[in-house]
Amino acid sequence: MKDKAIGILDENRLMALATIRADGWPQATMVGYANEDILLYFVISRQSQKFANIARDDRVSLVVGRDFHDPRSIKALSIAARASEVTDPKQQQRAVKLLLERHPGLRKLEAPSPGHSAVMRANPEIITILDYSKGFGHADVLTVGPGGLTDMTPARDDDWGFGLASRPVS
Amino acid sequence: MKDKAIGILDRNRIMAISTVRPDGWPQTTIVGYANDGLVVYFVIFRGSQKFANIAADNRVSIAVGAEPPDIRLAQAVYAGAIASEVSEPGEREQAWRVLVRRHPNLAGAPQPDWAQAALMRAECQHISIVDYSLGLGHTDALHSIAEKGA
Repeated sequence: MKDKAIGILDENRLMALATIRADGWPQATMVGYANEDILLYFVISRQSQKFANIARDDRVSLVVGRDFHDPRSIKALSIAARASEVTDPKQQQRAVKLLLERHPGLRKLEAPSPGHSAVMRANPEIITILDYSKGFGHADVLTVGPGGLTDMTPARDDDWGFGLASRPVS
Repeated sequence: MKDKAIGILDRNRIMAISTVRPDGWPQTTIVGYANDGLVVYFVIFRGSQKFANIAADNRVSIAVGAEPPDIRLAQAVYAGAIASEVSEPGEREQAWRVLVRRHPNLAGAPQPDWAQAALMRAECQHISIVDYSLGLGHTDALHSIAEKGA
């Protein structure tokens, strides 16, 4: 199941990332990422609201997925993670290398300056895997414990009351 | 600027929506939506965490934007919004029609069992428009647009 989560991370490169503002309002933005196993790397501006939010509260939520033709093909991840800045120079280099491999378009741009941009990582703690090929609304939940061990809680099916009525998008 | 935000909302149909759990942790999921101006409609399961989250705190955040072929073409809308259930049957019928137009796979299918699913609205209030064609990282902010009627 962990491999499945990594597979979905590997197939995508854009996530919606939510942080919490000081007033308690969530803030969601789209951020490009690269992953190594289940660890996600991304770069954000030090001037951004989300950088300030993470500095105050490291709890973030992110989602990875894409639009679909057939609802039964939906595969997505919703992840609760703790985010922090990567300050180790070696890990920073590794993160930037992975980001450039996943986002070749970024090579056209100037490299981010450390004074302006922060290299960040998100460590997942709870991963919900949506796989509607197993039934509309099917979700498996992985809990990531210390040492990287994963426990799976029972799958659930939220079919939204659609039952089997969901049909491919024409 | 308001028209630009609506234009981006009009051209998409899935969004990330973030709610806040009672323990203060954000929770983000992807849902299909359709918008009427700056009001966004979507359907969620009553048993879902996000339905409970919204009942406890109606402040949500949405992000809409497809991956561009070139980062310099990126356009997205981020909005802080107030979410609530559309429970008045007439308004729900109208909102459902808006959703079906944007999501043709819903046409002809029976409506969800409203005892299990809830049709929700989110009224966008604090809006950021990302438009990198105007410069990498270019963002315009529209605050409390609904209140000001801007």
